[in-house]
Amino acid sequence: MSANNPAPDKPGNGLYLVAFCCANSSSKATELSKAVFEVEGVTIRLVTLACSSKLEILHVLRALETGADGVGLWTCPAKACKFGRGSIRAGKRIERARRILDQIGLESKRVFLAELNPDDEKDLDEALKQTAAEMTKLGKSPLKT
Amino acid sequence: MIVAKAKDINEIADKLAGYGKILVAGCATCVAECMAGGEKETAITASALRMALKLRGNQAEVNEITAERQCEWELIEEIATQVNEAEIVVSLACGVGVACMSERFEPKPIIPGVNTVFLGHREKAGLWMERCAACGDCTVDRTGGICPVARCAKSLQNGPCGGSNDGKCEIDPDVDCAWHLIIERLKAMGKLENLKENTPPKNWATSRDGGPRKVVIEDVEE
Ligand code: SF4
Ligand code: SF4
Repeated sequence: MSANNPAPDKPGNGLYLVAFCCANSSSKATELSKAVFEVEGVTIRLVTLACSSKLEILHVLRALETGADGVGLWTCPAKACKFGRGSIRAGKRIERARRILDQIGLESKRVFLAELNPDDEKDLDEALKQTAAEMTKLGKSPLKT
Repeated sequence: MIVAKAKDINEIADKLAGYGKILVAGCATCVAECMAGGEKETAITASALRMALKLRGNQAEVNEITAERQCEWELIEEIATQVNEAEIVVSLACGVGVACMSERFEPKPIIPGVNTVFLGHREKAGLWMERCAACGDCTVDRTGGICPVARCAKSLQNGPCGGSNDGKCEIDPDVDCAWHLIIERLKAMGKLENLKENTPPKNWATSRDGGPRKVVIEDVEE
């Protein structure tokens, strides 16, 4: 993964993932904030948040509605959250977003949630690679067909 | 305040078949407070509906707006343009809002996007509890401010029943027995003697059993 390997700014025809990441969980993520790059053929837009609990359900829905094939949130481990309950709260929001997707018949597994060990750069690389692989298995969002 | 709960998006989407221009209308008062139909929930519902309809092959336009209140004629008027432009409105207000909007914009269909559940309050973040059933004859002076109509599963006027167990109601071990709470409150108030007096059967004519109710204040009525 490299920000020097930029992908087009628009999702285009390929798979597109919007990846939200807590700024405290990865300094690399902070460096890459707002960057658009490609991992294993998946275009990724990385957006860092001051805390993962800043993620709103609407962010997840709007990303999927406007062309993302998947949305991911990477939080700090619950016990490491700088703001106490941020990761837990963020996890619950993801659960609710997934419930809404289940209701409308859009696969909720298109919403990824995982923890990153703060400042373990390999973790972010690995997480994105793994998610890209899962996205490839899932294919395009049915909203795009 | 009036407490409501979001409906399943699919249930709403089912009712939108055949419509091309849909408005999701939120209400910024009670339903915003209980996080069922305020501005944020309106945006969530509209986004989810756009996706739900698209997945069903329906390319309808779904817009969103939030009124300050949908139960006041003047405030409804502020969203009249958007309502008039829509073929159907999904109202995220309580049932009162849906009723007022339906009356104001007849014959436009205004359908409920939330279930109105009770009169209550926010006990803590994320938890709302029923506290009053609007019976029309308030007697909580006898029960230390705890309503036996709304909080006792049997609405007993003299309690507790034989099912009260360790302070919990027999319907569910997670539900407080209202009469246990009443006794504890009266103890704390030094008013346990209130319970020596038998409360006669309640006259439910002032509640829903007496039919639809109204309140008139003559010196204000036009
Ligand atoms: S007694 Fe009637 S009016 Fe008073 S709190 Fe209970 S339900 Fe509401
Ligand atoms: S256990 Fe208490 S709250 Fe439940 S029905 Fe009996 S008196 Fe009412």
